[in-house]
Amino acid sequence: MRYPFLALLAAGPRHGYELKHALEQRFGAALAPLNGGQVYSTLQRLERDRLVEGEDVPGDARQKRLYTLTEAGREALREWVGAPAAATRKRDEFFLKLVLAGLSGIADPRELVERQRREYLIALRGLGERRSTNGDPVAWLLAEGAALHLEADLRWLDLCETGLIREDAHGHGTDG
Amino acid sequence: MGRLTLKLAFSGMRQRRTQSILTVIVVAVSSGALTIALAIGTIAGRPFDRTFDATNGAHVVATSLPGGVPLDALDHLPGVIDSTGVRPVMFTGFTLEGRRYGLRLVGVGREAAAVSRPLVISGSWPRDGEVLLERSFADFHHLRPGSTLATQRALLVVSGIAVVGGEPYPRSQPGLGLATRSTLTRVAPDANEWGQIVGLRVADPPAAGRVAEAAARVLGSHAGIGTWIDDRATATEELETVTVILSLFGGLLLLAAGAVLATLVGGRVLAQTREIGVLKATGLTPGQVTRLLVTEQLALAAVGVVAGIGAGYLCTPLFATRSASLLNAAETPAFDAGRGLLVATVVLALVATFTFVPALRAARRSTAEILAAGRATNRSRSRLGKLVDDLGAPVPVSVGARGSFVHRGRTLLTALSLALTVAAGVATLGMEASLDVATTPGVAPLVQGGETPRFDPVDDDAGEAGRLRPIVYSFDAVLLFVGLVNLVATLLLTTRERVRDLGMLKAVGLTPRQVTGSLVSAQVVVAVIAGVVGVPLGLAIFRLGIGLAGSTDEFAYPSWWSLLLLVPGIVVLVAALATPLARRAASLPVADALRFE
Amino acid sequence: MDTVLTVRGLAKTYAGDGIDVLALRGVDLDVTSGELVAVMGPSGCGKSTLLHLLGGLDRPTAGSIALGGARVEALGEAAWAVLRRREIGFVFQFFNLIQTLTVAENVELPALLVGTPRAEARRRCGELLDRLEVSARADALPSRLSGGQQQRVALARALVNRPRLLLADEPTGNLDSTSAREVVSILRQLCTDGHTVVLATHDPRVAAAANRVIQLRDGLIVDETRLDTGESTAAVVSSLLRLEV
Repeated sequence: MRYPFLALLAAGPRHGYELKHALEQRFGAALAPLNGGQVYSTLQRLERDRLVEGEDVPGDARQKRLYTLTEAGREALREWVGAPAAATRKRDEFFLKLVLAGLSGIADPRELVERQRREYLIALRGLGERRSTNGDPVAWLLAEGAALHLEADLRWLDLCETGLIREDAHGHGTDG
Repeated sequence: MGRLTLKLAFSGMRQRRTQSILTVIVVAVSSGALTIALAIGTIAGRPFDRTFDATNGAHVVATSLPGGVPLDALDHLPGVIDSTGVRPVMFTGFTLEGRRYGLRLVGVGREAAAVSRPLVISGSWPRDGEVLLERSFADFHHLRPGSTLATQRALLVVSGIAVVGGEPYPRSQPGLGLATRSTLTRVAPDANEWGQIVGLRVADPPAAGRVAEAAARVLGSHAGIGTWIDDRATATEELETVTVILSLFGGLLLLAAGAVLATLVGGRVLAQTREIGVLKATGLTPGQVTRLLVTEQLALAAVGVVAGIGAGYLCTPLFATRSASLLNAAETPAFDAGRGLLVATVVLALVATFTFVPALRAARRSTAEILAAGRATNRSRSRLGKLVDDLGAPVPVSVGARGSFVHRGRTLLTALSLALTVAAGVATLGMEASLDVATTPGVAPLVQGGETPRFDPVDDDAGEAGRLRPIVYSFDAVLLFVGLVNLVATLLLTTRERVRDLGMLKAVGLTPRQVTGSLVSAQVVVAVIAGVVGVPLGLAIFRLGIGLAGSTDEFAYPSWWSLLLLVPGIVVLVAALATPLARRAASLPVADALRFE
Repeated sequence: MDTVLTVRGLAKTYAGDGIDVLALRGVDLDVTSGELVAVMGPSGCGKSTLLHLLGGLDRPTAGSIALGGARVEALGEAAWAVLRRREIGFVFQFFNLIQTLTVAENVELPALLVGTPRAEARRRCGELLDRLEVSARADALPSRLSGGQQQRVALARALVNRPRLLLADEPTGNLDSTSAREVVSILRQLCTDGHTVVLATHDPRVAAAANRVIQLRDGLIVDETRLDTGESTAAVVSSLLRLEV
């Protein structure tokens, strides 16, 4: 949460509650609802690290703090934005299962593939059934990204199927 | 690059086997027709002059009756450079199959004289007891070397047949025979019944009339004198009909041959557009593509030309003999390398042009444009299409007819070539109608000499019309054949083009019968157009032909009912030919039809 | 819910130059009314062949096909043509339209064939063209349309007689994603209305809209996924769309 806050402060000083609100507005449902306590503890840590400067607004009953981005904070932000995200997948549990199942003989790899394929297709189906995104490009891009990833996963699944599982000469019969 | 072109060309030919064979056949038929047309043209052109030159004909001919003035003096007239020598001539009769006909016998020596030299075309020079018959006379009575002629006092054996020139029998009667003096003695022992005849060659042929006048002054009134100029005029005038008919046929053959070529070759390249696109996408430049197509077509055409000229030469004698006999012209040699070369050059040049121009144009268009090209034109819902719709035609018919209207260029080409065929048919009908009007029925033979021999008249239907008819019919047959080949080639090509659309129609739910119907409808529409255009076109061509000949009163136009029947006739013919082809195309399984290239 | 299609042991072999191509090697399939079945597989797996056989556009080498209970694999061309008019709509991957007819004429054709009055045929045609958003090109020849537009017209033509069974070979192949979504939603609506759709596709998103997804590999069915078990996808979707901050 730190870097999103820093980014929001880059345009100018803001109150704590404003930051929470802006973030929720920008990302809507894609964001898990933010806990007020989390927000303030993050801001405190940012102040401690001298990335932001807090100032109490006088004459305000609720003692809301106004936060400003420091030079160090701007620098840290620049670094974060500039660094490309790693291209590697963080983890793929399914792939592990598939390879190991084949080795251990604990499960039928073909069944694993079929089940996984079903998962992906159902997810795709769900994405397709979603109501429109009300013209919000951010939400739309998120959904498209998810769908494209699923397409890629399905394609990869086909490869795994032919690559890892030895094909029966007479093929796999259909059910019923 | 040359080898690559050849390789691609040959692989292309092998793949499209049907089309390649079709090209060869069409070119062969074209070349054959052209060869025959040229031969006819040569024969029909100036028949009198050619024969005259070949026989070294006499510019002035003088005949004196029995008991008349001797003709010896004529050899020494000023301007005379050569002579046949004075020869005896007599009139007699002979019996053939129970009928009596007239016969004019001229006495000749052991061999032919230098002037009026008969061209012996079969058999040999007559010996004693034999007679050499003039060609048209012999043909008419079906006399051959070895046949016998029964005169009153002697039996003569035909020794041979010769071309003499002048008006043919039976226009000019009685028939002419050449025999030795002793033979003449046998036929008519009394020399007082004999007349004399001499033929003269002059130094100044156009001025033969002056020599004739001089001869007349010498001989007085009991002799007959004629010049070659008068003979030519008479012969040409009398033979005008025949000449025109033959020339017209020659011209029609040329047209038909051209139409067939245009249909095929032009259509081939139109259909090849997609291939061209693929070739270019593969990396061939427009120039290479053009060269490839032209090479392919020329190779096929070369085979066709050789086959066609060969066939033409083989068929020519069939026409040549009869035509020549009709015109009393010297025959042209069957094999003439010059003629063959001319035909080959013309046909190959035509093929090259018909291929080169569209190929170049197609090769220059952008590749993407060509590959994406539906073969239909850019016009949207055509008014003609709406018309067919409004007529309430059944669905398959309207779909088929629509197809014709959309492929406008193709349809036009087909219609034009069919129209030319129809026009040829109409002109033919005109000639048949003219046959009875223009030709002389057989007339009773002339009577000459002291006693009036009674001769049977030469039959009507054995007259010239009868002799012309076989020729006209055989020409009809050739034209019809060419027209048929044209028709079949066109139908094959258009059916092939439509295979994919046919597959689609079946996929949508038309039964094979309906699909057949749609394709046949499309062709019938073209046939109707062709008929409607072709009939007036044919009449115009016929009129033009007569006009060129000069006199119009000896020609008749085809009867209105025959013209009326022609259009439905063509439609029925086209439908009959198109149906089996369409049926075959319609029976192709849809999946195959869609993959059809 | 009755069975619309019953296929047993369907096989198709193409004779090549010395080598026979086994396009389908024994396929069993049951499709009930109202189902949307997607057939997936790499190119050359036999998807198109299967659809062609189901539509009578080609004859199987072995096996049986029953349409609504009646055996059809041995029917003649004419009988298949009648079937296709009334019962089966077909959408191909390429060359869908008759080049010599305009768009409107193409769509009206099947309706006219079954004897629909011209006015009614025209009305239905207009409706479908509107729905598929190609009505502006109604009077144009197919060669003037883009691939995607041609595909939509083909769909309209296949639907004009409201066939029981719709067979579609890569119906969204040439379409952009918006048009593809529209086509998929139309197909799903058809199934809700009682039609049955069997389509071949390589697009997983299209397949995901189906009730059943069948995997074809080298002429054989290797997998079948049921997607219409009614379970909620909401949780999966939300987790997919959750951003980690």
